[in-house]
Amino acid sequence: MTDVTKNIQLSEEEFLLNMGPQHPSTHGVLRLVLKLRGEFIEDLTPHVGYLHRSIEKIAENRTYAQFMPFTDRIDYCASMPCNLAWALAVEKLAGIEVPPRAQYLRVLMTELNRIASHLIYLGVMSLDLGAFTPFLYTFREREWILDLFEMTCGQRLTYNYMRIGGVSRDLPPEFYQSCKNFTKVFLKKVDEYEALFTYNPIFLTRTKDIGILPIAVGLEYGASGPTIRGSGHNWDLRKVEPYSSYEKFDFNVPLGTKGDVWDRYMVRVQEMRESCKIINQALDGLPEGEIKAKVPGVFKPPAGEVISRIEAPRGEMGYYLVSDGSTKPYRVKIRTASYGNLQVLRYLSRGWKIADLVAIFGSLDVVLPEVDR
Amino acid sequence: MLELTGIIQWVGGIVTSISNSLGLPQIIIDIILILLIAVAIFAFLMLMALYLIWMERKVSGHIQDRLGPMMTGWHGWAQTIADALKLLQKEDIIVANADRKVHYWAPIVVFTACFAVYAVIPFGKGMLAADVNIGILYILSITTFTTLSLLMAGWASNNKYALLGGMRSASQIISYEVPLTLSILGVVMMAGTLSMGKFVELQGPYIWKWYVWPQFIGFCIYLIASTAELNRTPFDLPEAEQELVAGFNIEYSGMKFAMFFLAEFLNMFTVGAVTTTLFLGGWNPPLPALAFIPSWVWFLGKSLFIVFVIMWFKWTYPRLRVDHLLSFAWKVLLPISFINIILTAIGITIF
Amino acid sequence: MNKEQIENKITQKFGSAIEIQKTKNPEPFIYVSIEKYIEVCEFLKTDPDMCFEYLFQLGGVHYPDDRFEIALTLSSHKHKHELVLKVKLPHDNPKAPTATTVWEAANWYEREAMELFGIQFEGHPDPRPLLLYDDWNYGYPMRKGWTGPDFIPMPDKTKGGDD
Repeated sequence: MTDVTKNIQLSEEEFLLNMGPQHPSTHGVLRLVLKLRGEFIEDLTPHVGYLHRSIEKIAENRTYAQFMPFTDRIDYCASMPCNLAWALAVEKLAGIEVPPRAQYLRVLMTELNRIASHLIYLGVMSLDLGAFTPFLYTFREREWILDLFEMTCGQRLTYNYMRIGGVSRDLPPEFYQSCKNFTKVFLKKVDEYEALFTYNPIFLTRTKDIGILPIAVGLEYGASGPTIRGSGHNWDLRKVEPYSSYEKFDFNVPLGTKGDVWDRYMVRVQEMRESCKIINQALDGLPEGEIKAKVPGVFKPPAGEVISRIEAPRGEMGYYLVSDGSTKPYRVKIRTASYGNLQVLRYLSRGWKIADLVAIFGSLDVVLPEVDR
Repeated sequence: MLELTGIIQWVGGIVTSISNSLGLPQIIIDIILILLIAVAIFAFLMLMALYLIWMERKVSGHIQDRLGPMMTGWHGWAQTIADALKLLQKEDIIVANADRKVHYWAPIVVFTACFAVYAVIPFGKGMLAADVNIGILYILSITTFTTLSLLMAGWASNNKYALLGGMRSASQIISYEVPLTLSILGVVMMAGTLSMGKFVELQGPYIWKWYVWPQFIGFCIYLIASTAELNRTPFDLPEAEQELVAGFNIEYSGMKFAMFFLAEFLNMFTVGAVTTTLFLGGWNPPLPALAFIPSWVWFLGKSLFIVFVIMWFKWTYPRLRVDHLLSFAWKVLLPISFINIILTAIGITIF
Repeated sequence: MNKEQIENKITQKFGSAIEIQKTKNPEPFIYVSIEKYIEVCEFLKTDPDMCFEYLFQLGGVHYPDDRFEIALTLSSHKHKHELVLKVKLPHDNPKAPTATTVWEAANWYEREAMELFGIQFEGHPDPRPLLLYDDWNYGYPMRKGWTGPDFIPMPDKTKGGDD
């Protein structure tokens, strides 16, 4: 890093600004070295790795089941999808059939977590734009979801809920009513957020036509999820290659038109409504039966390689898993959505102001532990 | 009657009689009286600042669906005192390579300026420290000192964020000073005076004589422009937390930071007080029948209402961007305030 | 296109440079020789039947006895199919041409593989370490059998230069 600042050529009117690693709007610990001309960004170099915990190396020294809690720590805002992707990868490798009830429970939990994650996005995005109040409103509703999670699996942040072949626990009896109430109230709350934000003139000037991401560029850099859907690219793995019986649910994939900050925001707001729909369907159509397939205590999948992909709240995440037939994975490569989304930042923010950089970075919804792993 | 006029005259009388019996010359007596008034105002304002900080926390808390401070005393009334004690004990850090003198003086300048304004604010009937005949001009010029101190702080801190904050503050105040002054011009034209005391007299005793009705456009522009001068959301660019971390005061700690902080709240109260005096009838009650409530209560109530509105802005809106902010000042506020002046002139000629 | 069609088309085009891996997976797993690596990548991206415009991930794998591998997961949003492309690299001095010329997204993945596995990507536009810190000189931690020191001191901040 020392050489980075030295190698940048500066003209007289330019200067370097070091943003982060401790900065209010870098969502964790990201360091951006900005080359500025006045307040305009000429160039930007992201430095990641401050949260590198070598989860991939740890995976090689844990059994398949033992690795599940570590997947929680990949993306602490949305642990359920990380769990799910790992479970799917191992099940694909070993050819385990998951009982339908467990599949529905997985969908239910993942969608609840998607809402929780988007609520964090919404709150933090508003905070980045200088409005403090929506942050607390969204966290108020997130609390309810966390209560639901606590009710189900005893945890509020790192759930460790999924198991290879199913889920760890069935729903408690009071879950149904509480969750139903939540979806009913929550739809009204989304309207409330929208009233506060969506067509607020200041919000519009801060987000409209800012940081436009063309579809081709997004694909080139590996952007996924709401980031690329905001540009109007109709690609949602839940629809395209349904996993965990997503094909049985009826929901829409919200799309943006232009790919600016506002579109990415709007896609997420609408995705919360769609997730509510899925949750209701999952609750009503929850099949009876087992919640976990029979998996041997000493679990030894066959040797082989497998990839798993799911649509996490931030985009596509997945594992590339190599097994040598022992109890421990031979190699786990974790692909996370933020990794691709953060790479686009440099393209998006060139030519904009510092204030826009904050808005653009907020709209990408990057969670740094996911990038560093 | 709870009017304080009597008390002030009583204190003044005592001081004068004691001094006379001691045989002091008149000039000394005057100085003692002025010092007494200054100390009284200073004490009042310090209490006011503490109260305003508490109020902001309560207002923001309730807007955000929470309670705000609750642990220190009844509804957390002593929270600010505790905070001030904490800040007093903190180490005063001056960063390496800072311009030490400028760094030292910046908070003092801002603090002095925001107290100096209160010399001409009529707090109540007979409660005006100095009825200067150019009161409003004096206020306008003194409040601009804030920018100077922010620029000083930004420059002296040897920090790029601070510098950006200081620069933003300078460009912002230069832009917003113009519509601010022009919006006051309407009132000045109607009143035909620059004295703060006269403004209040002219707006009594009925609510429909307040200048807020004929000068409603001016009132709105004044409120917007002064929010911008206060550097508060949606115009809090110089200290934009998410962009510039804390802007100009990033390198300040301990009591120097507290001085910036207090000055921000005092300036907020200044805006409330000036708005009250210019547009909302000063210490006048809305109707003569309500005069049994002391005038200073009316004044405080109106000022605090304006302060509350400014706080309300802060906890509702996102932040503007620099260029939007400036173009809003020059392209929207400025033309409207010119139109307002023309309309006022026409109105004065006709009626 | 389904798995067989992709495999057939790629074998037809590149012949001996391609080695199909037999798996139970729905996606084809294909080995490509290092000489034809970038050529195959470009073909996969641009061919209208393939259209793998999205690089899902790129990662290294270490087999301590004989080789390194890099595995690319590609996906085509147009045809909705996937493919895992793998390259075998020699164990001593593993080197590969960079794929950033084909997919920009490969940039960080390759940087990561460079510092964690010690695979050199020739022609990489920005070959700085990504995840590990500056003063890291304890080898390539993701290699099998890597042992670092028990205690790794924090980088010396007093040396300065960090801004």
